[in-house]
Amino acid sequence: MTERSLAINGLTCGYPKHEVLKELSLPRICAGSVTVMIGPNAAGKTTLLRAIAGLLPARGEVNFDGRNLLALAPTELAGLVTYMPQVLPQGVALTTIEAVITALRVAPDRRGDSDAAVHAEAAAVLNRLNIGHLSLTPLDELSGGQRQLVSLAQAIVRRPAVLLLDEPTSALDPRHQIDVMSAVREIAIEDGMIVMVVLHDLNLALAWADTVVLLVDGKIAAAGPPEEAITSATLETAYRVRARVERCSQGRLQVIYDGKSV
Amino acid sequence: MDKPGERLADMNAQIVEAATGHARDAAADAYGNLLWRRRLLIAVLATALAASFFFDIAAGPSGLGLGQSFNALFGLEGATRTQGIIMWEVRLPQAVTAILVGAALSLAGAEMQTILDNPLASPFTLGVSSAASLGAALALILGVSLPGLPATWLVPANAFLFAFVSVMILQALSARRGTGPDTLVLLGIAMVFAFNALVALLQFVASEAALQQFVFWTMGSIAQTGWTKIAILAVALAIAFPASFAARWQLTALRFGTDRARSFGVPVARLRFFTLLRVSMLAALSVAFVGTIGFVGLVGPHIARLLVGEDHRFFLPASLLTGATMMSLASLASKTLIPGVLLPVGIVTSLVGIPIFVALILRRRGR
Repeated sequence: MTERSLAINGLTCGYPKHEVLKELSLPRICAGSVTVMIGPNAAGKTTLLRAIAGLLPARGEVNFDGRNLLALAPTELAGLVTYMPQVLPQGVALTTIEAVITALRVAPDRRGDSDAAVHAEAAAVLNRLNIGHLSLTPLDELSGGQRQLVSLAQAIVRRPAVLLLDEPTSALDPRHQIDVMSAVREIAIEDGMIVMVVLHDLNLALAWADTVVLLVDGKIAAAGPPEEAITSATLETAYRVRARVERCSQGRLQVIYDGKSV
Repeated sequence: MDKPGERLADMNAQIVEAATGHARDAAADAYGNLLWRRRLLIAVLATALAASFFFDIAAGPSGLGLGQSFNALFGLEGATRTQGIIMWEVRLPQAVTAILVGAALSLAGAEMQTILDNPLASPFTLGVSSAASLGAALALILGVSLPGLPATWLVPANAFLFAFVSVMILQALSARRGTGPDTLVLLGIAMVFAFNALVALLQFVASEAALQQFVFWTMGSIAQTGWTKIAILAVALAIAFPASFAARWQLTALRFGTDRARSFGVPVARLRFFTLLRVSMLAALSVAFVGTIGFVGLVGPHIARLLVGEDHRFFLPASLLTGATMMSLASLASKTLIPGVLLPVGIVTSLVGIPIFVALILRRRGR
C-alpha cells in the first residue's frame, strides 16, 4: 500500500479584495508526520489551514490520496479533514463529554451509531488526553489549557486523515504545551494522520515538528527539517529579529532572541 | 463547596476512581446518569405544563370551579349548555392558544439564539414583532390589506404578511457573502427602528378609535382566538418542531462557532436559512394571532438552558415546554390577578418576564 500524503500545488486564496496566498506550493507531507507552520502575524498560516479545510474559497490543488480536496463536497471533505480554530468559544452550556459527543454525532457516517458506542468513544478520547476526570464539568468552568485539550479532543475523536490545528498551545502553560504536543505527535504516528499545526513558539516547533514551513507574506520563506527551516538567517528575514539557534546542554536546539534587527 | 459542586465532584470522582481498565465505562455511565436526570427534568416540565393548563381552563370570570369545568367540558351530569359553550368556545381555546403561542415563541427564540450566537436574540430581535405591528397598524388605521380577505382576518393576515416579508428581507441580506450573525442582528435592530418609526407615523395620523384598537392589539391578547387559529398554529408547530429536532446535532455543533461547525461538516448557511424560515413562520403566526407577547421568546430558552444545558436534544423540547408553561401561567394570572378583569396576556408576560430576565442577567454577571 502506498503511503498517504498531502501535496499543495499553486494554491491561491484569501478574501474578496485581498489574496493572502498566491500560487503557494508545499512539498509532500506524509501521513504520520507533524508539519508545523510558523511565520509572523498575517503571514497566511491560518488562511492556509482554512483553505485546506474548505472554509475559504481557493484555487489550485490540495492533493490527498489522488483526490483534489478543493473539489470535494463539504460533507465529504469534513470526513477527511478536521480544522481546530484557535479557541473554543465562551458561554457554551455543555459539558466536556458533550462537546466531544457533538463532534462525533455530526459526522455523517456516525449518526446511526448507538449512544453507548459514541459515549464510550468520547470518554476514551478524553482519557487519552488525560482530561477524563473533567467529563461532566461544564466547559465554562474549565481553565484555558483544559479548554484547548477539549478542543483537541473534539478534533481527534473524528479520526480525520488530515488534522489542522491552529495555535493549539496558545493558552497553555509549559506542562500542558508538552501534553498537547506529545498527544498530537502520538496521534499522528499511531493513527497515521497528516497533522499540520500553526505555532508561534519556535522552540516548540524545533522540539516537535518533523517538517517546518516558514511563511512570510503568503509565500514560503523556508521549508524542511526544523534545523534547516529555523536558522538565524531565516528568522531575521521573516521576523526581523536577531536570534541564535543553538544546542542546549542536552543537545536540543533552542532559539535565543538577542533583539530586533536593524 | 456548594451542593451542586459536591455532586459534580462526586460524579467526576466516579470517573477517576476507575481510572485504569474501566475508566471509559465509568465516564460513559456517569454521563448516562446525567442524561436520565435531563429526561426527568423534561418530564417535570411537561407535568408543570399539564397542571398549569388544568388550572387555566378552570379559571375565569364565570365562576366555574375545577369540577364544574370538567363536567361542562365533557358534557357530564349537571353541566348546562351555557357552561359547555364557556368551556369549548372561551376557556379551552384561550388556554390552548396560550400554550401553542408560548411554545412557538420559545422554540423560535431558542433556535434564534443558537443560529445568531446571541443570548439576547428572540423572535423580536430581528424586527418580526415590529413588522407585524406595522402590518396591524396599516390594517387597523388605514384599512390597507390584501384584497378578498374576510374582515376578521384583516389584522392577523396583514401582521403575518409583514412579519414574514421582514424575515425574507433579512434572509436576502444575510445571503450576501460576509454577513455573519452580528451583521444580521444589527440589520434586525435597524429594521426594528424603521418599522417603529413608521408605526409612530401611522399612530400620529390615526383616529382616536383606530388608535385605541391598535394599542390594545399591541398589548397582546388571547381573547380573540378561535379553533381555526389554533389549528394553524398547531400545524405550524407540528411542522417546525420535528424539523428543528432533526437538526439537533447540527445546532449543538453550531454553538462551537461557524468555522468549527463547518469543519465538522455542518452546512451552516443552509442550517441558518431553514432555521430562520421556521423561526419566521412561528413568530409571525404568533404575533399575527395574539399581538405582541414580550419576553417568552427570550426568557423561555434561558430557563431551559439553565435546566438542561445546550445539548439540543434536550434544549429544544425544554424551551418549547418552558415557553408553553410561562404563557399558560400568564394566561392564568391574567384572569386571576384582578378578579373579574381579563388583563391582556402580553402585559402579564412582560411583568413576569422582566424580573426573571434581570435575575438571569445578574446571575450571569455574578459568575
